[in-house]
Amino acid sequence: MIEGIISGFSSVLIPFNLLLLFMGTALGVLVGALPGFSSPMAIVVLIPLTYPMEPLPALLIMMGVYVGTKLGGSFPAILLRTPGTPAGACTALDGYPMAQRGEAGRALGYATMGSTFGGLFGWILAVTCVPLLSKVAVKSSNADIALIGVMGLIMVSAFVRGSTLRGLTGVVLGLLLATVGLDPIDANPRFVFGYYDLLSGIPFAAALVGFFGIAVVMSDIRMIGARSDLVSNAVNMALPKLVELKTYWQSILIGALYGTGFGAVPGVGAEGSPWIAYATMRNKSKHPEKFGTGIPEGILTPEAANNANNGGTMVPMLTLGIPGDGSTAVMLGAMILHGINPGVTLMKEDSVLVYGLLAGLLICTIFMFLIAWTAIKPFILVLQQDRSWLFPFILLLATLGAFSSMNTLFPVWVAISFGVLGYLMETCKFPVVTVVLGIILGPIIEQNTRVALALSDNDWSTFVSTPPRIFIMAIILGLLVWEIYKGVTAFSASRGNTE
Amino acid sequence: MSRHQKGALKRDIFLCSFFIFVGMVALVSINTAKGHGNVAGTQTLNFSTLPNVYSGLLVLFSIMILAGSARKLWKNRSAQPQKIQVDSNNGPVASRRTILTRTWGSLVLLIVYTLVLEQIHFILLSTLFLASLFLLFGQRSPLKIAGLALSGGIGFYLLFIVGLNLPI
Repeated sequence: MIEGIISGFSSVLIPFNLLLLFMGTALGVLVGALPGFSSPMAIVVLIPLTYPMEPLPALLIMMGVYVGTKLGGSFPAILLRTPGTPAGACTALDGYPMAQRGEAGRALGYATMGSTFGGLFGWILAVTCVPLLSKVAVKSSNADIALIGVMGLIMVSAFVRGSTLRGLTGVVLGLLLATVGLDPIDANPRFVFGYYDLLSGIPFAAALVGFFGIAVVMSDIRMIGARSDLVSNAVNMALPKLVELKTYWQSILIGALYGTGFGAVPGVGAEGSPWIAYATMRNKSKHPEKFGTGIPEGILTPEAANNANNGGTMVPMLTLGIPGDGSTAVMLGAMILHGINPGVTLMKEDSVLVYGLLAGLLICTIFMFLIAWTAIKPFILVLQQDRSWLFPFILLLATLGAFSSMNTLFPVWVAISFGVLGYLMETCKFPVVTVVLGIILGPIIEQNTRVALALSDNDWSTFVSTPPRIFIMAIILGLLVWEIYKGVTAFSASRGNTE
Repeated sequence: MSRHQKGALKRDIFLCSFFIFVGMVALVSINTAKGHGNVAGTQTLNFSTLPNVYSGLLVLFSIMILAGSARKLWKNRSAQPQKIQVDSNNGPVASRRTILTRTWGSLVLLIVYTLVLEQIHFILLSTLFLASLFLLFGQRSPLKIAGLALSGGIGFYLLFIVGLNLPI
């Protein structure tokens, strides 16, 4: 493990990769600071620009964006009470009141330090768990991999925001879309309807661009014209001293623990962990009534959770090939587009990439701190800009990005179609990330299920023939039963209210 | 029930109907397709098994959601419990009609752009596309629109056509 970490750092600590990490992190902080823009969107429009690159540099710049958006989302939360990202929403509860008192710089300082320490904690967890879990994961057979894939999809449906039924619908739609093209075992064409372009399946990059680029712009057009005159260039970052931060160690620790824990659960992402950590800290506090009035703990806790999440999401992504949230789903897609096979064998086949990404995670966290500390003013300037100038560029970038995936207009039409679908789905509270996960995991689940059955001579009991498989099956069934129970209870309660 | 909630339920019904249609088309298509080979097929799982399962589940789940939404619309009940919002500064600043015009207008412009992308010179088309979107989104300063649109057109040309060698 130590040799792996050293090799990871040695592959990242070269000028070009460091430059990409820096640019990605700066872009991420910028994107995160703009309400309406998201990490998946920024990563998706970067994908076509990374085609000429090797996989590691390409993924490093995306990692930078991923890390940077978490802190960037806190800036408008503190200054405008409008979070730049859903993960930054909790920070506004105490960040905005503190800014209103004239202590905006101090609030930004607490957010920066909380994010940095949370990010470091998450990195320690990732670098410890990924190599250990990979050794276990690589011994998995086809049946294990198929079950892990199904478990990942069920967990995402259960924990993603919105109803589980809508999450499951999105998952099933994604699984169905993944069957377009040639059958992975027998090469029978499915759902091609005579179109040659569909034989290799739905162009995945185009689907990502549609869902996370075009659909998001269409959804956020309503925000055009929303500007704030409250933000001024007089705001300066005021970092708290380490001696002062020591008194708030509990806030940072609780936030970091929740962030890494929830980050490792697919589907939860960064949205839920800051709120749960905040509520825990408030309940533990001797003065819970002070939360929401602008106290440091109210900023440090959610921010630590936010960035600790980054390390947590790396664990399932790099060991099992299951993304923790939308951004890691897009990064997994980018891996596939660069010829990398994410999954249980990733560490064995490409340990340099895995350790390189882990090294990149630490360096991004450090860059995030340095950028926020020294260059807050450009980001405040960006906050003052109207989105009507930015959205057209995003649309054009998305269109050309889709074109570049196959050098034909076909993926552009696919991107537009998925853009409309994604817009309608988000409007109707169907989580789009479940469709993306279904598309990514569908081929893995199908191929491994069919091979497992072929190897076991068509014996379905192979899926419960070992203790780990029984355990995974128990989680799947338990989650499904729990969600059905919650649905029936809610339905009975709503009927009782009307009668 | 508010107009907004009714609209949300109607959109639910429309989208679920679309999913049911997709599921039914998939079921018919996969069951009328002829398999060409059976290299490693099993007796219970072949090329059409999982698509059948996914299509069936898609139809089933969509019917469940559609039934729930239709029932709520019929009984005129609230769609969803109100969630706590962190901020109140995030509301739309334009009328609903303007927002819809901009949303679907930008989609129409995108479709037109794609249709003529391989017929008209890239810089000219991209500049016109950007300028049209700036106007659609409410910008009115001619100099700023022209300057940014032209810079964007040239910038994307240099990045994608010259830099990435796209065959447009």
